[in-house]
Order: sequence, then structure tokens, then C-alpha cells
Amino acid sequence: MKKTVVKRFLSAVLTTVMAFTMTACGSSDTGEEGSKTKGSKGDVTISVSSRYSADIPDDEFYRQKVEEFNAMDNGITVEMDNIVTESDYLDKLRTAFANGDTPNVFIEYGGSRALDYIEADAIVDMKPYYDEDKEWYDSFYDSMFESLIYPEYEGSIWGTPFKSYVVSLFYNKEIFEQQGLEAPTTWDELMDVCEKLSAAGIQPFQAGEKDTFRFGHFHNNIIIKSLGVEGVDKLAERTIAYDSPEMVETYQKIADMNKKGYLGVDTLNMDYTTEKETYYAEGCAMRWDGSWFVSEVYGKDVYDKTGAVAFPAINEEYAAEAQGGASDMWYVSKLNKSEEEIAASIEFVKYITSTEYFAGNNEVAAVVYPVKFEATENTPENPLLDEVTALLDGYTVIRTDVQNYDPESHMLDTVRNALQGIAMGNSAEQCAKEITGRIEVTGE
Amino acid sequence: MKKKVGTGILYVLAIFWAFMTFFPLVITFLSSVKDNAGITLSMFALPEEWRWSNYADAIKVANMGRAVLNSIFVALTSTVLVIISGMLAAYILSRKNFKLRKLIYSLFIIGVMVPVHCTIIPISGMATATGGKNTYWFLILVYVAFNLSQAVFLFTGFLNSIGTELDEAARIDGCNDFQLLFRVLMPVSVPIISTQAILTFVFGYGELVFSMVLISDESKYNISRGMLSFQSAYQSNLGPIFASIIIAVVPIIILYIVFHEKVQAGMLAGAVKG
Amino acid sequence: MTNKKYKDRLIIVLFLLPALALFISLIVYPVFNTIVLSFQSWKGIYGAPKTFVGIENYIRVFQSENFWNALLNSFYFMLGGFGVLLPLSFGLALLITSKLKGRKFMKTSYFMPVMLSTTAVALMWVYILNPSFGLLNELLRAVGLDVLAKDWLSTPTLNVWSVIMVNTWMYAGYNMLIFTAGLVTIPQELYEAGELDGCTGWKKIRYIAIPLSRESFKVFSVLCVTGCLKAFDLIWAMTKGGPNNSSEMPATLLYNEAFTFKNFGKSSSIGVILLFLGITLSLILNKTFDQKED
Repeated sequence: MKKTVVKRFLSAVLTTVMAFTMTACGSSDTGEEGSKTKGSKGDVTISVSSRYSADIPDDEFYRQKVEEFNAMDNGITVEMDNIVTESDYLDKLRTAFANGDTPNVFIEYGGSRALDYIEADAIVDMKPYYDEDKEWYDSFYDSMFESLIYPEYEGSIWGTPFKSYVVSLFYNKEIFEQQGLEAPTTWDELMDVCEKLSAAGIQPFQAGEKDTFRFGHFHNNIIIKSLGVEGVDKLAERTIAYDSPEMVETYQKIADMNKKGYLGVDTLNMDYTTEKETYYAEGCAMRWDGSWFVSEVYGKDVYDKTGAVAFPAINEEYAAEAQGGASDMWYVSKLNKSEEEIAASIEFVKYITSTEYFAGNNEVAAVVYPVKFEATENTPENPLLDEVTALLDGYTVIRTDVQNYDPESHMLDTVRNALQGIAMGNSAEQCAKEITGRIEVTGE
Repeated sequence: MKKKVGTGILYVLAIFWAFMTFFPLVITFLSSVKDNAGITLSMFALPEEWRWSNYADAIKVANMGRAVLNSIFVALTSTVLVIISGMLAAYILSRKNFKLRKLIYSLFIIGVMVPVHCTIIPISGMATATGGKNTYWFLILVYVAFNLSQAVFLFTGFLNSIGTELDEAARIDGCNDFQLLFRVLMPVSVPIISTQAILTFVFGYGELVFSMVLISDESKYNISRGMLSFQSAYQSNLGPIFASIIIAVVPIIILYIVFHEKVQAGMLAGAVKG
Repeated sequence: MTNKKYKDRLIIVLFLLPALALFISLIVYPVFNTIVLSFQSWKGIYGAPKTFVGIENYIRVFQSENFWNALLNSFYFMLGGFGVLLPLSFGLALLITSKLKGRKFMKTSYFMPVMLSTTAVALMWVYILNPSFGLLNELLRAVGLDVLAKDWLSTPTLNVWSVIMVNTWMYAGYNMLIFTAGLVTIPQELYEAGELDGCTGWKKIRYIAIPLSRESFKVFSVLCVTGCLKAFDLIWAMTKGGPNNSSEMPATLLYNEAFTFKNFGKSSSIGVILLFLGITLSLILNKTFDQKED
């Protein structure tokens, strides 16, 4: 009996001791090789939160570049905290903001999601820094700053674009050829193509609507193509209501396609990953997606058969408008931060959004970038990316998710939720009612 | 004859349920050596090629080796602390009569009902205030606190149900409270202690929410966090995720087998008492 | 005498201190925080104002259709818990404490679902329940029961029950452990004595095992009821409360209100309601079990 007691007690003591020694090693450990040289004065440590923790070339490039930054003799040490899953990342970020213990630099999606931070005076206005460094500011495409400016805060730019995209319609050229079809340019042509594909037993789209952003993006494009970017602004101002006839028409389009099975089988039970796998296995003929898809399909058998066209036009007036823009942006926090920390944060942001960074990134991940730069010699050939880039050049104006411009930050989820209801069999009217209902309840 | 049929049916049911619980492990294992297409489009088929590289990826990229050690460390420590502090409290709540006893007991029971998300923000704030952010010890204390309710609940109930004959015998022998608890009652409570130990360990081993919010250092990731490395913003590399699951589940199976023996052993000890 | 009393008091305080200290700082304090916040309106950013709104949050919650749906789903969980999980896990506990052959393997296998993380379990079952190519529907079709091949996770109410079944599958092993710990304390002599009286087979279970496991049943009831109220992990991993809020649970609602809609006040009021419900139900359960004691 006594032995077990002593043993238990000892093991408890041992573990507690271990815990403390681990803590001692742990808290000073930053995991970075080059950061051990903390000799010089004015050495600042900043925390940078992002979602780039996966084992894909794009994320690996980011982490590698950060470590290079740390190895540089600039008196700044960056501690990364990368969480890949969106909901977990946002959980942690929001918890941090609730407690006032935020990272120095972090990724967020612009528009209304960042508005709350701005209203709480927690974010640094980047405009003065852009004014100071014209070359850096000019390297970005103008449209990239869309989601970073707000009418209430004229003259301010609240972040720095990092990742950008444009949504296109990708299709399997071989299937189209075999069926004697041409890539659709208008909505009516799209319906026609879907009908003929269905009749031939080919699935036109196979959406993974378990991930609600699929219909979300689809809907964005329908809105932009039928009501234009000015329509997006009107929606945000509520001069067009979410249950107006024009909007109900947008839901109706999705509902009709869903009913005829054009959007896929069992969309609610399929996620985004499986949706792509289906396309790779040539189980469907088309899919709408952001330009990041180019880097994913690269190297797959179906790559050579894949072509890209603009999302079909609905209203000729808006044919040259599309969904796209900056998706991920860097924000600098000033909540309980010192002057040195802010200065160090700015320096980091400049480094990570420099044209050199993007040019290097381009060698490993073929996507659309927010800056203009010359492709290096090391960049591999990528005809599909060239197609997409050419499309992007042809657009007059692009906007990211429609609800990003909405003053109420919940709208993105509210609309996506309601659209998922359509996949469940809800009518267009029910969808509209759900959205307006939620707006009422949140009543601002 | 009736008995044989009855036993036969029992066997069928037992085996059926064993199959129901075992085959997901088989599926997980098969998935761990496939690629994305093999998993999503043909989950129940045998792999076309056995991608053992998924395991190499899991260990190299996600640092699963280190993650498993972290998980074990955190889970083990919190388990030990839960048992000690839980038994101490349960002993008092079961054996001593004092004014606030009912109140304190109720307080612990309420802990079982608290939804996790109510507590994340205050606890995270406390972590910052005490310097416990990104440390093992704070995380362990959080796990202990969350398991204490159930532990106290189970231990107190158990102690209540085993009567006071042993207590009286020990008192006659001249035992004080400390000795009574540790030399007499604890060994008898091995079944419930082992049970709670297993449950606490399983909790701490794969916990995600607090680990996510409180820990930022990659070297301190536990297994759940490590597994996330294979999910990027737009795609998931499912094979290595399943490989990570297998790597993570092996130590816990071993620990479980070892610990549950103690519960069966307790069966004999229980028979001897009185 | 007073010296002994003093020593006694000291022991009480010392023994309770570790658990109590941890508990008060990490559980009681956040709960208190939650209660206070439930009467306020806050956007969740440090420095943003916390305006007092009285019981407005509670009114909003009680007026929301979603909340009552979530509560109903939670109730279904309890039905499943007492109707299926209870007999199943008790039965398993009986099995592994009996003299059946192969029980060592079964003991491990039955607990396996708990050892696999919720993520793994969710991933697996989502694929099994897939209406088109999932194993369940394939099997049903293979035996000609096409009619039963439903859309398990997207049909309202049915999806809640699907998750309940997966939950049952997962926690059968967990509760089996708790019942086992109770069964193991029943002395063999009682069974032997019973057998002499002609008590065999089912009667043994009915007249010895069940009554003497009263404590375990009480434990199970409280854990089940409170667990069903605050269930989050599995439903979040399998359906995220959808599609379209059909499988919403109180805890997912709480989470969404706070982290998606940034209504921390409203979220806290849901938390307080859950706590209140949990306490009330546990009290009722405790009273019921104590009454049965005689």
C-alpha cells in the first residue's frame, strides 16, 4: 500500500517539476533558429497570425520567407502563429480582441469584418505609410484596396493586400468538344449547355455545398452580372432590399438550376475537397472557382483539358464586371501596442508584400497576385494561368464577396446560410425571407 | 438448452457491436495510406497503392512525434493532478460533515454544465494576466479544472456507496485522515480512479479548443493541432490526416489496455472487502 | 476537544483547497462573468463599450425560433441518451464484466470510438452516411431496402437523429466504463447467494446488478442531461448546425451568436439559460434517485 502512495506522490512531484522546466524552456523558445541573437538594443518581438500553416508550397514559401526575415539583422523578431482552419483561426483572433491581447500583425478579410476593429480604434491607418512610400503603394493594383476603404473613414486605408483572386468559370474542353458545345458567354447559353450536358448524362456542375461559400460565390457572380457593382453598393445601403424582385430573381436562378440537377447531386453532403476531386476525375464538366484553383489543378491529368472563361453575362451592361479582388489582407494592430512594435510591424508588412516576395511566390504557386511584377525566369509555363490573367485584365471593375461591403458583419454568413437552404429545397421567397428576417432581428 | 441459446445470442450481439466499433479503425488505417481521391471517392475500397509516405509526411511535416509526446505529457499531468485534487475533495465531501458541504458539492456539480465557449474569453484573459499564455502549466490547470467536476462527482458518489466499515477499522488502527485516504480508501477506489483517469486522459490527449487558443508555439502543439497542418485554406490532404490519427491513437490504446486491467483487478479487491 | 476540532477544520480546508482554488478561478469566475455579460450588449472587442440592456438579450433569445428548435434538438439528444445510450452502455458493461470469451478484445474495441478523436469520427461517419456513395445506403440498396436510403444529414430532424446515433456509437464505450466501475464493486457473494435462491440469468441483472448500480445510473443521468444541453463537438464537426440551422443545438447557437454575429451579450444569456436548465434538471434527477432509495 505504502509503495503505491509514495510512487504516486513522487510521480506527481516529478511531473510538476517537469512541467516547470518545460515552461522555462518553453516560454523563451521562439522556434526560430536565427532569433537567438538578441544582443542589440531596440530588439523588438512581434507576433504575426496567419492561416498559412499547411504543407502546400504557397504556405511553405510564406513561412520560409518569415524565417529569412528573422535571420536578417534588423532588430526585429517575428513569432508566427498559424492556424489553418478558418473558424478556429477567427475564434482565436476574436478571443484575442476580446481580451485586448492581440497579435501585432494578422490576416483578415476586409470589408465589414474589419469594420468592428476599426470602430474600436484597434487598427493602424496605413495611409500615411503609403503616402510616405509611393513606390510600394503604386506596386498594387488599385482594385486591391477596395475592401480596405470605407465611406465613413474617408482618406484612410486600413490594411495591405496580400492575396488576391478572381472567379472564373473553368470547364473541361474535351467534354465540351465531344458534345459539340462551346463555352457559354451568357446566362442563356449556360442554361443551354447545362441542358445538353444533362441530356447526355454528364453532370454540368458538382457543387460541394456542404461548404456554404460555394453557393455564396455563385450568387456573388449572379448579383454582379445582373445588378453590377453599383448594385452591390445599393445592397449595402439597402436601397435595394434583399427581398426585392431583382434579388428574388437571383435566388430563383439558383433554385431553378438546383431543381433541374445542374448544380450537382447531393450537394449538401459534398464538401469542397470532394467537389474538386470529382472534377479531377472528370465527373463533372464545369466548375466556378477562384484563381487559386489554377495552382491546384496544375499537374493533374485534367489540367491540359481545362479552360477558363468569364462567368456568363446576364445583363450586357455589366459583362465586364466580376467577382475578385484582395482576399487576404494584413492588418496592423495598435491595441496596447508600443510605438516600436508598430514600426516593426510596418516594416514586416512591407517586406512580406514587396514585389520581390510576390515574384518569388509566383515561382512556386501560380495564382493571381495583387501587385504588378515581372515573372522571373524560374517561373514555369502555365497556359491556364495566362488565360485567367487575360480575363482579369479585361474586367473594368471587380469586387469581392458582396456582403463584405455590408455594414453588418454577420451578413456574409446569413446570406450563405440562406442559400444553403435553397440546396435543401427552399424556394427563392423563403431564402429572401430568411435574410431579411435576420436583418430585422439584428436591427441596427 | 435455453441457456445455450441465450448465451449464443449474447455472443452474436457482442461480436456485432465489436465489429461496429472496430471497423472504423480499419477504415482509418486504410485511408491513411491512400490519396485524396482514394479517400473521398472510394472510401471503403482497398488502396490502389499503399502510400506509406503519408506517415513520413505526418511525422516530418506535422511533427507528429513531438505532438504525441506533448499530448501525452499534458494529458498525463492533468490526469494525475485531477486524481489527487479530486480524491482530496471527494474524501471531505463524503466523509466530513460541515456547514458548507452541500453548497460546495453543488458548486462542483454545476461545473459539469458549463458550456466551454462561455469560458474561453475570461480564461484567455487570465492567461495573459498571469503570463500563462503559451505555457504548458496553464493549459494543464485548465484541463484539471474542467475535469474536476466529473471527478468529484464520480469519486464522491463512489466513496458514498462503499460504506464506512473500512473507515472504522482504520480509525481503530489509529489512522489519521491522510493515512485513511491514501492507504485505505484510495486503493479500494481503484476502479473509479482508473475510470476517471482514462476519461481525463482521453480528454486532455485530443483536446483542441483551449490548446488552440492558449498555445502559439509550434513545438508545443498537441496532436489535434498538429493534424491541422494538412488542411489548407482551399484543400485538405486527407491521407496524412488519417495517418496522424493512427499515430496518435496507438499510444492511447496501449495506455487504455494497461489501465483497464486495474479496473478488473478492482473487481477482486471488492470481493475481498468486509 | 477544540484542538481536534481545529485540526479537523484545517484538514477540511487543506484538502479542499487545491480543487476549490482551481475550480473557482477557472470555472466559477468565467460563469460569473457570463452572467454579468448576459445583461449587457458587447461587440467583443477590448475597449468597445459594454452597454447595460437589462433582460433584452433574454427576451430576444426566447423570441427566436432558432432557440426553441435548438432546445428541441437537445431534448431529442436526451431521449436518445436515455432510450438508447443507457441500455446499450449498461449492456456492454455487463458483457465485459461477465465470463464471456474474448471480452478483453471487446473491452478495447468498445472503447475505441472514444479514443479516436471527434474529428476522425465525424469525418468517417459523414462519408458512411453520404446518400449517394456512403456505406449505409449502399448496404440498404444491396438488400433491396431502397426506400430507407435517406439523406441522413440534410433532412431536418432526421439529421439530428443521425448525429444522435453517431453520438451514441461514440459514447457507448465512455459510459460503459462508468457503469463497469459501479458493477465491479458488487461483491461476488451477492450473486452466489442469489443463485442459491434460484436467481439466474436475467433475474440476476434485474434484482442485483440494476438496483446496486443506482449510483451509476444517477451519475449517468446527470452527465447525460448536462452533456446533451452543452453538446457541441460532434454536431459541429458533422453538420455545423446546418444545413440552414436545422440541426442547431443550444451550444452551437451560443457559439454562433458570439463568434459569428458578435453578440456576446446574447450569447452569454444563452449560456445562463443552459446553466439554469442544467441545474434544474439535475436537481430533479437527484431528487428522483434519492426517493428511490429505501
